[in-house]
Amino acid sequence: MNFESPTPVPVQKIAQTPSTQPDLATSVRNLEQGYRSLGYQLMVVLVMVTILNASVNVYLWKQLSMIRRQAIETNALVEEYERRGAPKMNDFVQKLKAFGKANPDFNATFSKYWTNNPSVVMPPAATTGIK
Amino acid sequence: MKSNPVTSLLLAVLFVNAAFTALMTFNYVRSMRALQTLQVQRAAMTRELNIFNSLVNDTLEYSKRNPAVEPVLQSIGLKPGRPAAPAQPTGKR
Repeated sequence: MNFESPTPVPVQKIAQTPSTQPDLATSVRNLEQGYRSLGYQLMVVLVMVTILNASVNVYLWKQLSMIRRQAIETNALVEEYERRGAPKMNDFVQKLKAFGKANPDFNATFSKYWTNNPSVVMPPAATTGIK
Repeated sequence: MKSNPVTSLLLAVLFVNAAFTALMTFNYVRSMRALQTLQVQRAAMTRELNIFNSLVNDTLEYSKRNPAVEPVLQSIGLKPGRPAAPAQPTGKR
């Protein structure tokens, strides 16, 4: 049996012989091609991401325009209601309240909508659904 | 290392685009919140109007039994006032 200790085999240096020069040139050429290909792929990806981002921007812009238009319309409606509708309604309710004092038979109708809280008009149980 | 000018340009465009997207998203979220608040107000307004319409309908129904309530209805233009007496026909045939 051989009990010799295993000695590391020294790495042999690759001899730079003229025969290996073409292999090196090919490798460099391959690397250059890979580099160019990567650059091209990066450019394609950048173009695609830019187009995608621009599409998202267009979508957001349209949504934002729509939301702003809706907000302006809704705001105008609410302001109109608060300026003209609500005072008219309150006036009408006050007149009905005064009428109810003089005509107790009306209170049965009025009490369906009106509680003791003068700022709240309560819906009757049967008409709470959206028409 | 030599950088490709087209890639640099694309990166710059992408950066500007991304910044614009962030700004738009911020505005979108803010506007959406404002719209939601307004929609809540509008829903409350619609609910009040529905209740008011029901009250008006019941009052109109009541006015058939008791016409004394008609002045109240006329005050908000829900019922026309008494029409003027028709003029005597004076036309010649």
